[in-house]
Amino acid sequence: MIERGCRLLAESTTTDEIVDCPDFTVVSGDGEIYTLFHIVRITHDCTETHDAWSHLANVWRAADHAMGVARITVVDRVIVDASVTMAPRKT
Amino acid sequence: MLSTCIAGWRSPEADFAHSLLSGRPDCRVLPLHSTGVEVIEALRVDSIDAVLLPFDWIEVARSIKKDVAPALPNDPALVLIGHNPRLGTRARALSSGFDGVIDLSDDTESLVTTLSRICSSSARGDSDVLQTFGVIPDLLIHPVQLTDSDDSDLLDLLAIGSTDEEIAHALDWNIQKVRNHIASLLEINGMKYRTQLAVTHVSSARIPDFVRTVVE
Repeated sequence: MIERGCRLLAESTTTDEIVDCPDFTVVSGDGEIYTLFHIVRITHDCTETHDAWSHLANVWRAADHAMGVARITVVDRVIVDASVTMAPRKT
Repeated sequence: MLSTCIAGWRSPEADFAHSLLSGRPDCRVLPLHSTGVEVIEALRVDSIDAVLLPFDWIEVARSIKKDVAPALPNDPALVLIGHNPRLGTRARALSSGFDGVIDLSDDTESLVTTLSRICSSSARGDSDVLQTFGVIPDLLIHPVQLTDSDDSDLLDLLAIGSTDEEIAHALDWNIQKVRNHIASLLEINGMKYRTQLAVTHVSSARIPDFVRTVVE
């Protein structure tokens, strides 16, 4: 579900307008497990409504190309924090 | 007939294994070796199925697996010998090039059965340990494969225990560049954990010189 107050970005908005690098890594497992994601498209700008994160993006996981939605925090065009919810796999 | 070579300098485990196997009709046991060079020479001149080593010979095992075994016509199994070896010991042994572990507390018959099983290449490793710890066999045999020249600096810092933030500061990178590089290194090296990168990088610099001398 899209949080209230987030601004839907135009389809024509490209990732490199917002971040320098479309790849980011989420660290889990007590700092041991590194999972690399690639941004497909940044869909929402939430900079005026959320302190915790600034944008929503569609992403795929580099290891298996599984799709998901990422809440990302962008500071100076760098993703400094991210949380990804993977889409359920179709059976 | 199982041809074995046992090594250990003043090692009770090596002495015990030698006394156990020497009297068996199904085992050919070479005289006890007391140095890594002796073991390597034996491997080069004789056809040996298994090399039995105590845990404190772990660096010798790693060196044999990395530098000596690839040049041999046969593929000798490297076997850790110990009394009730703990899970962590077994896991570290398998990461360092050992092909299996035998518990000298077992009765001689099952010990020889286990040894024969390890020597058959299909049964090498230790499935319990591999599954419990996510151990990658021979992890410490090969140096970390790099994606680009910057990775060497990153690994040096990672191997001394630096955090991602400290590495980013030292290399003047942003935090995501550090993490993306670590993620890529883990991926191309088939590793699961950050610590595996660190220990593999540290280990790659510690192959004893004597092995290189003998190999050359």
